[in-house]
Amino acid sequence: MQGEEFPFMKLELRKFTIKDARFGEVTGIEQGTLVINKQELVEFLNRDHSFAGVEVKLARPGEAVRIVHVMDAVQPRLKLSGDATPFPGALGPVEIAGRGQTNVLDGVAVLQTGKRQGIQEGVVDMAGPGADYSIFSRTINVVLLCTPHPATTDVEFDRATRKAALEAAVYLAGPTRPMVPDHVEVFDLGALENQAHNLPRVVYIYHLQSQGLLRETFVYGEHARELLPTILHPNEVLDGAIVSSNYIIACQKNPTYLHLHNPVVLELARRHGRDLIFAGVVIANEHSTLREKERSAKFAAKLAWQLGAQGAVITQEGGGHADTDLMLTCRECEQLGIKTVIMANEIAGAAGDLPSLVDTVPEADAVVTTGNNDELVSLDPVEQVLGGEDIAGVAGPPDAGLTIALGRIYAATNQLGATHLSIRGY
Amino acid sequence: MIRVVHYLNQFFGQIGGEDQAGVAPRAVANPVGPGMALQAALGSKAQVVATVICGDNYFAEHPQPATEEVIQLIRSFEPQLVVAGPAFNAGRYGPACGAVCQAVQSQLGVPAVTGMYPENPGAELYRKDIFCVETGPSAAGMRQAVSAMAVLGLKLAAGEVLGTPEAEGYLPRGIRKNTWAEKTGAARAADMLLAKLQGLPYRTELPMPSFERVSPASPVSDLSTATVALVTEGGIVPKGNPDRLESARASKFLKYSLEGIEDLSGAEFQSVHGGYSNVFANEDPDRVLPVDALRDCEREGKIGRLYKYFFTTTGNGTTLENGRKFGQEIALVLIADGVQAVILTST
Repeated sequence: MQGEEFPFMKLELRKFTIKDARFGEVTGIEQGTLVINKQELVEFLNRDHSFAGVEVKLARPGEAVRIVHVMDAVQPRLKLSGDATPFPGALGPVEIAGRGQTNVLDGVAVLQTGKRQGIQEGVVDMAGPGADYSIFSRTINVVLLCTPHPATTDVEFDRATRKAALEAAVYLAGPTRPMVPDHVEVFDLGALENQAHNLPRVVYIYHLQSQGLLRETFVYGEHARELLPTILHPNEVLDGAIVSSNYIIACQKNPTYLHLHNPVVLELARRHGRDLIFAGVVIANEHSTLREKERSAKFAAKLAWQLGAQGAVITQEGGGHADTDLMLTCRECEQLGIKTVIMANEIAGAAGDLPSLVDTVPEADAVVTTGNNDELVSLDPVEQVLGGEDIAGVAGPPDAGLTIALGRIYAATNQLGATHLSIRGY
Repeated sequence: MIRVVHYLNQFFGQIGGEDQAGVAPRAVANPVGPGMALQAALGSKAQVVATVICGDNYFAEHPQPATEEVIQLIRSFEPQLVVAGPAFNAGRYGPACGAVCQAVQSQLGVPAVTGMYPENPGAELYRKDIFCVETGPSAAGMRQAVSAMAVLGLKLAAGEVLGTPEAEGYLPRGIRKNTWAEKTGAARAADMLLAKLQGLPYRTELPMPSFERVSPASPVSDLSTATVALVTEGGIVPKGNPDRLESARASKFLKYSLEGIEDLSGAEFQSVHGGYSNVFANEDPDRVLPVDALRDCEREGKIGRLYKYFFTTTGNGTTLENGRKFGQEIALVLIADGVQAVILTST
């Protein structure tokens, strides 16, 4: 029945366009406005008393609001079929993602905020010059601030906050179950596969960073720390197979929201059957030791070869020694005859005159840059600050006008190529 | 009227060929050789008030004194703009033009412009610091080169904000500035890959940077008498981080005493580094800063002694500028305190 309507890896993203949000009596969608019963949501998220407190606030594009300590962003979603959740394994049972129908609140993000030990958070401004940079300045944001009990360990708190953000996402999309979407996007790559044999076969090698507590990326609910590179169908990426709990520096981590909207997957899928054959996604973790990095790079390149790839787009997550993973994978692919384009952001200093990466290989001759983290940007004062009361490393009140490194703005130079930011050499 | 001084080698300065390459710097109070074309290109806005000429070998063999002598001569004419060359692909002339332009800018505070073929070694040496118009390999391109240098020089002298290297005709100086592209990063990546697969031209957005190589110091001759220091970028600080070391993008390094400490305890020290999971470092900070192991070495006589302080910072998105500065300052203290060896732990 479901199987006949839906070939195995056919995905429908059923999109509900949300233009505004407010708190109200009953959670639901009224003519494009998301209405949230705040008390019900707070009680639901804290039903096990995991937190000392849960706050929910709203931030809309254009408001003089600054969100600080941003840890992750998730899109409200609901899986229509069976018992599955839109984040299989990370929330609820494991089902293969990327098939069937998924309802999506288009234009909304749930932002998890709050302090974490040893973490420097991201900043999102909803108005002013800072709003040019973050994709989350253009979403209606449901901002969660979950605070731990004094005795809660980092491990417990991390697990609870991740679950809360995902649960909030499912709760907010819940009312769409009986509703008709504004439009439906269909991903059925298999239907096109056989029509265009003369097009080049391209794979996407997708580095994930999973290196320990608060620096984890989850694949179907398990962290990728010991992952030997494996193959995902593009639809799995777009449908919640990958969930972030990686909170390091604001632009050196890929939020869950961007895993769901991976711009490289979307672009290669869009051009599938027309300019290229999108032969699959290889996920590879960025490990901590050189031996593991070499193993991962060689294995990822081998999988790309097995998929018949002639070309590969390679992205990274994080900087510093993550540059080594990017470079090794690039080199291994080129040595197997697979042509590569890699994507990276830069740490070129405030004046833009310092080396941009910490590792390079001569094979990396086709690079897309997503911006210099170190360039300074000035932010306007704001009327309200959500998510915390200070900004790490910034003296003075958090609502003041600030000059900070671009890399402090959440996802501004994100390494998946979601924005138009680039760099010109002078 | 903008006062311009023009720098030339002995050949273009009409002193002579290779036999005159050893001549010392001298000045002539009017345009010479390519200076005529330069004056014509500058038009009525500027005047070539002097030409400073130096032999190729003289400059190449004594670059430092030659630069000083040339700068002294240039200074005496109180220029508002200095033009050097063009040097095309001449291997001694190019570096000389680069050195002169760099010194004019830094010592006289006067704008300078030169012209070279991109493969001239002078371009590689100086393009980061100076404005160098891209020229052809030989003097056949003189007219074009001089006219481009004049246009750029007048803009520099007027203090105008310059456009892109492509628009203004100068060699990129490796300065990275954020800009908005027409397409998203992902779309640009797909375009670039398709071009690469089809053998069509494409332009990388990030030419691979080159790194400064650090040569290792010579081995310690006798470790059993040496003072050994522990330095880390692993973010180890006293519990509670009293001096507020940043978890990322560090702006400072800190120095703490190790006197009387046999073993770093998780009750007294912690890691604030944001780039790795701190769980194991917080359980036992010796895992990042191995004081316990060094104390063993001390007792066993493998090392003379452990230096009584440790230095710490966070190497997580920290700029190269800061890293270099921290390293230099830490090294000065270590040398002053008679430390012979350092164990530098990284994470």
